[in-house]
Amino acid sequence: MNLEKMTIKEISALLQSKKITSLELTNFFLTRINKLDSKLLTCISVFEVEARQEAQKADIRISQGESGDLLGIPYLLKDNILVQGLKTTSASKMLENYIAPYDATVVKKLKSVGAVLLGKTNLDEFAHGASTENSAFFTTKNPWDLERVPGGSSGGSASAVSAGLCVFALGSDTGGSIRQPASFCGVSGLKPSYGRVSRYGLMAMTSSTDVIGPLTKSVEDGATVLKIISGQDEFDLTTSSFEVCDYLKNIDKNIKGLKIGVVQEFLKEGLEDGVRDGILSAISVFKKMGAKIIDVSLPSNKYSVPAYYIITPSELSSNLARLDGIRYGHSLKLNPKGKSVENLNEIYLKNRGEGFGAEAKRRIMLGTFALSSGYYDAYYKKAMAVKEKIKQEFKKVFSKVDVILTPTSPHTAFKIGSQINDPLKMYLEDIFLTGPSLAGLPAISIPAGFSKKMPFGLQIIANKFKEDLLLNVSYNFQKETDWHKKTPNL
Amino acid sequence: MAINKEEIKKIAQLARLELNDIEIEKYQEQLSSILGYIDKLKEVKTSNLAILGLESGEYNKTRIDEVLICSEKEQKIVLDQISEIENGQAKVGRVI
Repeated sequence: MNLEKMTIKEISALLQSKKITSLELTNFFLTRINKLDSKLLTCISVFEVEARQEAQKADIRISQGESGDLLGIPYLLKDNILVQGLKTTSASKMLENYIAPYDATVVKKLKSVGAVLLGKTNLDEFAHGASTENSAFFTTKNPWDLERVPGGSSGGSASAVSAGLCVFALGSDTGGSIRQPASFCGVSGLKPSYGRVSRYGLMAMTSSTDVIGPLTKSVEDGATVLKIISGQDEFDLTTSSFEVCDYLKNIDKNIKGLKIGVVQEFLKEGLEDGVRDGILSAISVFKKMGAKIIDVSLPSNKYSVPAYYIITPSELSSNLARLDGIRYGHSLKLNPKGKSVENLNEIYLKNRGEGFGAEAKRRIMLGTFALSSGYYDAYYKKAMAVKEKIKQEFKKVFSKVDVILTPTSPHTAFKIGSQINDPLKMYLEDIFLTGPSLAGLPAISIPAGFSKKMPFGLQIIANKFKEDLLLNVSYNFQKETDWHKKTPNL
Repeated sequence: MAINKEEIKKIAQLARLELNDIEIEKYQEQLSSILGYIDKLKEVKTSNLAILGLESGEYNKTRIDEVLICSEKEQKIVLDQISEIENGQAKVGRVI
């Protein structure tokens, strides 16, 4: 039994037929984390005692005849999602010792169905980045090549799923933070529509595009997790009342006649050859299944990254204003020996100057600038108008096609350290990913091949709340290909 | 657009970030380069569409404005993390 390679569906069958207990399974993954995580560095915290307790509770529920897709299934959680009584750091020195006072809605839902939390995964500080190199603690390694980044910001979750340190993981995606690491690590990463999954208990970055979603070993597993974490929540007023489907129900429906839009301009400049070849092969796979390929254009997409890097810093500079070190977080003691702090303003300056890392500060500065008097109209208002234009463009394309297919990233995982001093280059990592985020659309990255021995993904985008269709299309691709079954040698 | 050191210092003050000289220099260079790229947005023709509205199909949700008591466990976790506490209240430095 290769438990580390098994999907939720396969492991759940073992649990239900009592071939294994949740405690045995939990111990298996805890041992695997102990053995491998010293080189991969995926986890910020591992909760051995609590995980075993949760597993034992799940075993009692199973022995009482209860069944459930995630009952007794061990998972990892990105460390910007709150779990009551446990450390939640957002990979920031600012929150190094922060204990969450309440459960995020997704955590509450996973607890109620009996999923077992193993630990919390690394990320770029406050989810600001595309490589985990902005983590205040350490850089997570890509399991396919330890000298390369896992992508980010949900890099710890993607690396852990790829390396089989858990059955599935949750991440968050604001402008590509689930999809890009999924592509770099060769796993399936789903960004649901904005408003599909509650953001309550997710540390806010860009409140208008933040979404929590699953990183899994198969599309089917993504559908299973999404079904559980979705839905309207009174604690997040931006969650939608749109009905939550059973995403597994029609997942294997054939896609004959389905119209897939391919954005031709995305396949031209700046794409690694191996990635382009892989995307073209994937298009042939869909053709063979009877889908119709239609050329579409998203001419304003080239403005999505600049618009995103005004909207995101603006929102996060406001969201991070709460971190002043007074009520929680990194704090100087009042008038400690040798440090004379004159007044409240000085405490703020020092706490924030010391607590935030370089990228968080860069983004706070950028956002403060964009919202400052005299620049607001030229930057923030303009970016919001461009966002609207991008949204309208997607709307137009979706009047002609059912889904859109693009590469997830222009290349495979880059070397650790190779881009860290070039923030603009790092921002351009998300060139194909920020558009759907700004438009609030669901999008998924699924493994589509290898280029120079590194995995890469393809992205499928659907119209708002069409997660069922998105998963159906992706599932069909995984039925025809086995890229998602490849695992790294560790 | 290019941004000078004085502007960087002003933004840092507004953002309540203490920066050292090396950081000021670095951010001046990086923010100028990032804003140079962002200036691409000026090329886009945009209309004065209503840009700050709710998603279509959604409506404003409201709830009764009432104080909800949180559990003792939650209260304890919150209070234990305040940097300086006196009689159950956060203690801060002089404001004026």
